[in-house]
Amino acid sequence: MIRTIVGLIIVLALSVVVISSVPDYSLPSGLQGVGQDYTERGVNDTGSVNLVTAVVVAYRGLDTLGEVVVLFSASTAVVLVLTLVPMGANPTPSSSIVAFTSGVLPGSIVLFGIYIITHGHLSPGGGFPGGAVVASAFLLVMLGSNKIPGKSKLLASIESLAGVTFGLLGFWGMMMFGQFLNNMVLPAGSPGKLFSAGIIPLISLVIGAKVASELSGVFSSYRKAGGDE
Amino acid sequence: MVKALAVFLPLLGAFVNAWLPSKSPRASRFVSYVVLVAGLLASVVLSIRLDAWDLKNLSDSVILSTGVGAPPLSINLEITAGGILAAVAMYAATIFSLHRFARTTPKSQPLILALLTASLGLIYSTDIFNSFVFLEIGSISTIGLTAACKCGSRWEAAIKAALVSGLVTILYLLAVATLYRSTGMLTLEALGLLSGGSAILVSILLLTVIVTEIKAFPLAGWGLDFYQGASSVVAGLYSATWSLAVLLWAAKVLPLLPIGNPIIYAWIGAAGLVFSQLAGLRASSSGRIMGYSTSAYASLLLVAAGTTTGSFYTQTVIVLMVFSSLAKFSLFMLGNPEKSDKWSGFGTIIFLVPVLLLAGIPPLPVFWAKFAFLAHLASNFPVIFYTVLTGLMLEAVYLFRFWSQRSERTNETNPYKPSAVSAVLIILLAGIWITKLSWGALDFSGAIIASSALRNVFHSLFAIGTLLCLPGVFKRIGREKNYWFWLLISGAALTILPAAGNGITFYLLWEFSAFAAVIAVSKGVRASRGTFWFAVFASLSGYLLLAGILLSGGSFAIAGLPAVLLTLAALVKMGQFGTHLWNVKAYPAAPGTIPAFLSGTSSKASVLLLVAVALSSTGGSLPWGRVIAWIGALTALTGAVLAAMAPDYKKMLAHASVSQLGYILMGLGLASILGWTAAFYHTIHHLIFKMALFLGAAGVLYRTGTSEFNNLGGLVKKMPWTFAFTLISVISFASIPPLAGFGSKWLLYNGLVEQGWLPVMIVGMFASVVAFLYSFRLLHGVFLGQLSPRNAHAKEAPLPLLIPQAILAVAIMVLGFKPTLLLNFLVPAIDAIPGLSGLAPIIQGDMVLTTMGTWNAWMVGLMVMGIFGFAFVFYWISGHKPKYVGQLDIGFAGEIPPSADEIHYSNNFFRPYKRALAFLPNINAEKIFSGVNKTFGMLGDAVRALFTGDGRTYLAHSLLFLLLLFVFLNGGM
Amino acid sequence: MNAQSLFYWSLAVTALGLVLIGLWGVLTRKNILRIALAFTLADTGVNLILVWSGFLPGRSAPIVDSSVSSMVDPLPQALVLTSIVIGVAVAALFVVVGVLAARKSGSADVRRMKELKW
Repeated sequence: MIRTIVGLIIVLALSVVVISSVPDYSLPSGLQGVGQDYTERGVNDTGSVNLVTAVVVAYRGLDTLGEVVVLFSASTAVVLVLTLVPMGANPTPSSSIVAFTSGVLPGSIVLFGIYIITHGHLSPGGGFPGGAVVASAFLLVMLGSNKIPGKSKLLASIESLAGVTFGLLGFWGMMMFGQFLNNMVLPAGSPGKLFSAGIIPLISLVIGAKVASELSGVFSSYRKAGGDE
Repeated sequence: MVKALAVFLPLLGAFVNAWLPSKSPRASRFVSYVVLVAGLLASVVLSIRLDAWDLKNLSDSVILSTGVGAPPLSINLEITAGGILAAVAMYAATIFSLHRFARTTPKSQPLILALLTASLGLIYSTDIFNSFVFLEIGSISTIGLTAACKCGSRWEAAIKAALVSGLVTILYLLAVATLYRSTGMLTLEALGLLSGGSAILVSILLLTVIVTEIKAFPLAGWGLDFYQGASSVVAGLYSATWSLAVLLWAAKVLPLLPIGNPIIYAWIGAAGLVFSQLAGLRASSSGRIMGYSTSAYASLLLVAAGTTTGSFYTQTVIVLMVFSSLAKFSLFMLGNPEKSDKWSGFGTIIFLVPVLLLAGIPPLPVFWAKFAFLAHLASNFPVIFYTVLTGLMLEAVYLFRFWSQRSERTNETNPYKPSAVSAVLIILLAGIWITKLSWGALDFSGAIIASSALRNVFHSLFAIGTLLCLPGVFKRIGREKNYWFWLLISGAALTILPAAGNGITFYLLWEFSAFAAVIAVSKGVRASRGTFWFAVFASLSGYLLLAGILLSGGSFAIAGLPAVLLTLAALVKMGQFGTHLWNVKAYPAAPGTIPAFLSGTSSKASVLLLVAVALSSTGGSLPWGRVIAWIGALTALTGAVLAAMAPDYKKMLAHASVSQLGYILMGLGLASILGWTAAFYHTIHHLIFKMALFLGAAGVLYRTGTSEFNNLGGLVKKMPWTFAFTLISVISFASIPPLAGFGSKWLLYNGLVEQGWLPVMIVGMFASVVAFLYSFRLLHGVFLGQLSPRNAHAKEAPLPLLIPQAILAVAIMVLGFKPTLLLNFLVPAIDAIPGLSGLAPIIQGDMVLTTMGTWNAWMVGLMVMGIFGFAFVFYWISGHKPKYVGQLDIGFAGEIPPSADEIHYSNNFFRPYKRALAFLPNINAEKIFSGVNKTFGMLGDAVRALFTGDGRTYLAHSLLFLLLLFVFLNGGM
Repeated sequence: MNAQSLFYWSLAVTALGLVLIGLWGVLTRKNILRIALAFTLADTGVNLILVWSGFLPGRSAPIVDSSVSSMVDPLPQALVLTSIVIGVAVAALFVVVGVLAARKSGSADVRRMKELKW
């Protein structure tokens, strides 16, 4: 009870703090700061028409590398921690609908995922969403099957290879231009084409592979440890 | 390229490692080592390129740019000289901890490497969102490692870290959004562009995040639980990499926050330091103690951020944080609760170095940083200075208790060797920095004591005293460990002490000597309590000395408060007036000849300090000389009474030692030529007889294995030489004419009468009478009376202990019969000091003349010897034969004695006097100090009640802290 | 205050509301999994605030075709992409640790995870 009240008071006071520090309630007139810069020179600098991807992969590529590491650490940690606890019981058999769908859909889901990954610099999408889509196909397969998934060396290899590639691309930029993860080690090409925008498509691919394999790894660990004791 | 390698190699290693363990654990370990060593090399190359080891311009940097374009569009990593030093430490710590992980959780290597990547990224990053990404990598790898490494409470530790990291994420992103919406940029510099409401919002959000992440009080709760619950390997790695990185990141961000006046950091830090260290006094788990120490350093960081700027700030922060993190790393790696704790003597020392480092004891590098930092505070922010000093003192107390508890559990096994190597590494690294930091700071010109004659007196006292303790060092009993090295160190530091030319040199040598002696005491059997009290009082006196020196601007030329602090430092060191607790605890616990060294030689350092203060402040007169004389007189009396009642040989000598030092205080307090002559004379005399007595006690202990009066007695037949030397010393300090003690009292009373301080003299004289009581008991209880059956096979003390006693006994004789040998040298030197009142005694041949009278020691000696000889011959001729009675031969009629102790004649020897004094209130120092201890404990309990152990409470703390900050900033700005 | 700015600020209030509800849940719920959910809620709110900080009503997604001038700010969208993934990663780990901690202490109640204190 006391906790509820104290919690309410804290939350209300927080709202007061945030609201009171808003300077004015007008609408911003236009883009400001770096946002304006990105829209003006983004395509020239990176060759990517999707400016979000340009920012994610090119300008702030370090963030993305870090983000990959976040996901990597989390999946490693989850897998590591779950291997330490006793395995859960066999999963309950999936319904026939799930079992059927899991045989039909994954192929097209993976294809869609790959499309999103490869067109990240042209249209909404990129490595993260595409990788997540691919991982969802894996999840579906896993849900459809009644077996506990075994250790997948393939997943680990993909994950590791993708990560190392990302890192090496970074060093490549360092060697060529003295700038880690510089985009222009590959030609910018003509904006709007599939093979354009420097190493952005390559990095998207790498990220996609990494995200897909890592999320799949997490799913399968959950599945292995799941169930009540 | 080297830059990129130094930062990103661990990352590549982590990715490679994710795949390898399933193939071959050895290959994976090999890759990790290759990557780490290469990264370390790259960092070292960079550090040399930046000239970082010079410690002069730690803010110098190289830029590693990433992505496309330049900031604010892209992100730069700024590799500062300070950061690269921290990085070297992080790499080294990771390399050293890897083998421990390889044994327990081999597949954790990717996480370890990710943690290192995050740490490096965080200290280099210049972008606020980029820092966030690294923060998250760090939290996730920490949580993962904690949960993966088997240890009792790992889940709870992990879940608390996860809760806090969740809250931090939300607050941080709110700050990022606000910053971006207001300025359109995400670089750290953009923080300076904020104004108005958004400035306050971003400041309080980020400050809350920082205080939570660095685990400063009051938001330290989760960190304490984390350190307590995580396995020691994880906690060790964490403190050397991630914790350090967060601290340095905070150090980078704090000055940039648009908070108005940064002094608020200092107040949060200073208050937090005191409160958290109060709570730390009550901590018992070693992990938790490390948590409190972390909190202390986090608070220090806040204080530094609030009070210093520029390169001084950087240097202070880097030295303090890097070394405290490394020290914690070593402690965690050494203190391995997963295995049974096994320590050899060597291990105890290896273990002590990090503790001393954390406590900021010279000459370790943390000391230099703390010293400069405190000096800065003392001259600019006095109130913060006192608060910080109090907090540091409290920290020292629990760190020493921690050490004494840990070293109690000793076994004869080697400590974990590679970890020992890591500690050695720290020492080496420390060595480089010590020379860098101390360069030019030390001064051995002897400027503090201008008179070279007096300096030489002290030089030779310390040197001779140490030398005389050395022959006996190998005559150890039972489980006493080797202590000669520390005796030598302590003695060497003392011997140099009079040459100190400025405050820092004096302080350095003083602490050096004190803590070498602390280690020496710890070598005794069951010495942990004694060592603890010694360490506590030694650091108390050290901190008083430090405060005095700093407040007087690094010199001794002062009056007022600094002089009082310095005087107090000396009094505590002497064990005067209540602080004798440490003497009484430490002397009996100390091994072999150490008590002789402490009481005879080391205690004279405080006389030196008093002389230095007196000479520097007002040319000879101590501040409140009369008060000091009274303190001396009262201590002389109470010490003598306590000595008479003591049940133990060494304890009695400890009380007696404190009591005798009181006479020196009376002389110094007089501030007259006669008084000072008496004080110096008595200083020398005290050194001689006290060393002889304690060396005799060491011999008795060596042969009988006990120092309790109940088990002694009748040893005169077994140890005639020891008896003879003890007798000479006793006659001397009881001030019976032919020997040296008479002269010191004669001079002193002359001085007191000359200045008209009669009440002081009466108390002093009364104390001398009580001294008869205990000197009699000493002789009687140990050497006379019946021999205890358990000592039937005792032999004469070994020569290495006897020969120094013989030398000292001869010295007493010489000093007694020919005091003019010394006075001829001493009186002119003291006469030359300006500002001392009264007339100098005149020396003519064997005669000493004062306005009060004359003293011809030679004649007096001959006369007394004549009378004594006559009495002896008379007794001998009379032919009385004593009747020998066994110790247990007592004829009570039909009474059954309750226990053997109570029928021993020396039990409760002075019961009648005790009964006569029964009307006095029963005050005793131990009770007072345990009362103080209890009070602090209660305060500590009150503070730590804040840390309920419920993870959500910690989150509520953070949010409340944020709200308070908001109220404060809106009220204050 | 016209309709556009009303829309603009009501988005902000909604997002902030999510954050506050999440924080309230974190502070008051006892079940560790509910706390995880509350964190996810707050995280979503914060992500919305991030997106909102670069949002301008009536403008299009930052993909260059012809109308360069009428785009929203691409940076916050990039940030939020990163932040979402991080949120997922943290949630995945939190749930695992939470479930295992609950197994260890025999219940999902955080009040029973107080072995470490003082």
